[in-house]
Amino acid sequence: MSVFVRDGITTGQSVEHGTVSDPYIRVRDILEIHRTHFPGHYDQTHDTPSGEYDCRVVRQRDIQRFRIRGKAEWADYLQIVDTFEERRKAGRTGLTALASSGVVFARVKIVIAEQDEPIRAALTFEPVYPRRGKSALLRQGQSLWMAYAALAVLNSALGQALYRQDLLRREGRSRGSDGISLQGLENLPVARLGYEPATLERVAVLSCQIGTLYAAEQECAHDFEEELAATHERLRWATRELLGFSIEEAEELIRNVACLDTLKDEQSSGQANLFKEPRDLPPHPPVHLLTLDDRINLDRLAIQSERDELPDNEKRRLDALKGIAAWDAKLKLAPPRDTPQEAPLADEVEKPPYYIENIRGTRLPVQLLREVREGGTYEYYPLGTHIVAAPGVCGGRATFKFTRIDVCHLLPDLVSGRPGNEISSDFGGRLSAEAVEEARSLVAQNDPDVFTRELISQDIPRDNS
Amino acid sequence: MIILDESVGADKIRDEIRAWHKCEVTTVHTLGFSGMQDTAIPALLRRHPGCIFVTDNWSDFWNKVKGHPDFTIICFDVSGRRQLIPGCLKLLLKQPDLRTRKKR
Repeated sequence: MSVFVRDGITTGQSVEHGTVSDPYIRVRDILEIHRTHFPGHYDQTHDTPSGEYDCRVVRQRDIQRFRIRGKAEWADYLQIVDTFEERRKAGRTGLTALASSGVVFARVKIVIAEQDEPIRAALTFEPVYPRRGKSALLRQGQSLWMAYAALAVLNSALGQALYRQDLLRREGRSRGSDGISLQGLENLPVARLGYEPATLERVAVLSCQIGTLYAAEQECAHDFEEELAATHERLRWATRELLGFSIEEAEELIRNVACLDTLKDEQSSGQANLFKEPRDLPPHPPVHLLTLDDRINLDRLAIQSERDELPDNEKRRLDALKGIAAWDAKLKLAPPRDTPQEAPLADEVEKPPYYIENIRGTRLPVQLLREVREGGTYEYYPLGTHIVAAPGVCGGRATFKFTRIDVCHLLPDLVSGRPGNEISSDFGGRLSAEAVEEARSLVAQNDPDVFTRELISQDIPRDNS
Repeated sequence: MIILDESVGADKIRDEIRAWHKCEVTTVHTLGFSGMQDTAIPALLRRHPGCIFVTDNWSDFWNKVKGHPDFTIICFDVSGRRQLIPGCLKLLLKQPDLRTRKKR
């Protein structure tokens, strides 16, 4: 196993793709669901993130459909790890599954509430640690659209009915015995194979729009009930199409499993309107949060504010309209198909080799020397008396002769002027103070970047074997 | 067994890890020889099944050494701040997926 840690975040553990052997793409093919525990009565939270390892701690009741509501609570993940460990040592049972940093700090995740009355899931790009709930990570190679589609199914009446039907068939009861059933969630279908790509896109856009509308409601303290109801209605229709159910099949399934209670907060007036085709609307109806009057007022107030000082009430009105306009613009943005990637860090980009001849203060002419030592032949280009570039040792960068001690790893010490004998004593005398001073002299004469690259010679052909 | 790369294996760091790790903590040059090539290290690790190799040479080990059931390679990118390694390693080995040799 290889693990890579960058600033404390574990990455790079590969995930196997699920296999699809039935007509559906299921949640387990798209998401990797993690069951996690949180140390109970942990109260060292704060209102705003204050450190690099802070994560948002979410209560189960705050995980709502398509959104995380309530006041944000942040905690230091490393402190949670320590608390977890202390309580385990103290004999606290039930603490078995600490959420790994890879789960908490995943770029995209869906958090799912533990109780299924109804199933509630929210997609988030924040580092989140649910106090009671599950975290689902997007499997490698899966698109963000699929994550939005899974979110739509998890939060839909149809998804709820399919979940309960699966539980009934497997366990003879419609609810999990201890919170939400992991297997039941994983078995949920998200799309029927051969689905129309346009349908997937529609579901993703609508699902994303609902999340944005809820966020806009919370931030602008404004009610977008009508817009939400219309978008929910369109999403129900599109989700049913993605799953390949006819209206009759879908309605029968929901009737049989009796889970219409899941639609209580969707302004649904009953089963008859459950799958109403949005005929009067285009397939991607733009939701406008600003009415025509609002737009006129916004323009008027903006122009007026440039000319004169606005009274306080008008100022507040202008700010509120500007806030809504910003969310209106966000709503028009379709979610990207793929997970947003971070630009590679500067030091992750492979740097081309650097010619030893161009290093100031090196021993010239450059020649490859060989010495037979206890472990075999040691080949190196001497850069000085103690500093060498040994091909294959630390990627051919500058190292101390006969060691794997990389000069680039000592750069902070060398640049800060830490005495050579102190650095030497760190390594139990395996580096002489003289060698450290030689490295310091080379560093002082050259760009530090030189020491982060493979060093080769212009005169000697490079051995690519 | 934890095997520290030469650049990580400063006495102070080794002692700090020894303070909390029950098993043996040693350095790569003690087991092999000083100045070993990067490619010789996996062969050395295979001779010590279940070992954890800790290095800060992330640019040469990340994605370049395939995972192996007999050993674990942990690369820390700490930009020269080697003193952070014992604490980070302790936290990392507390992670559920890495806590036991079997899980690793």
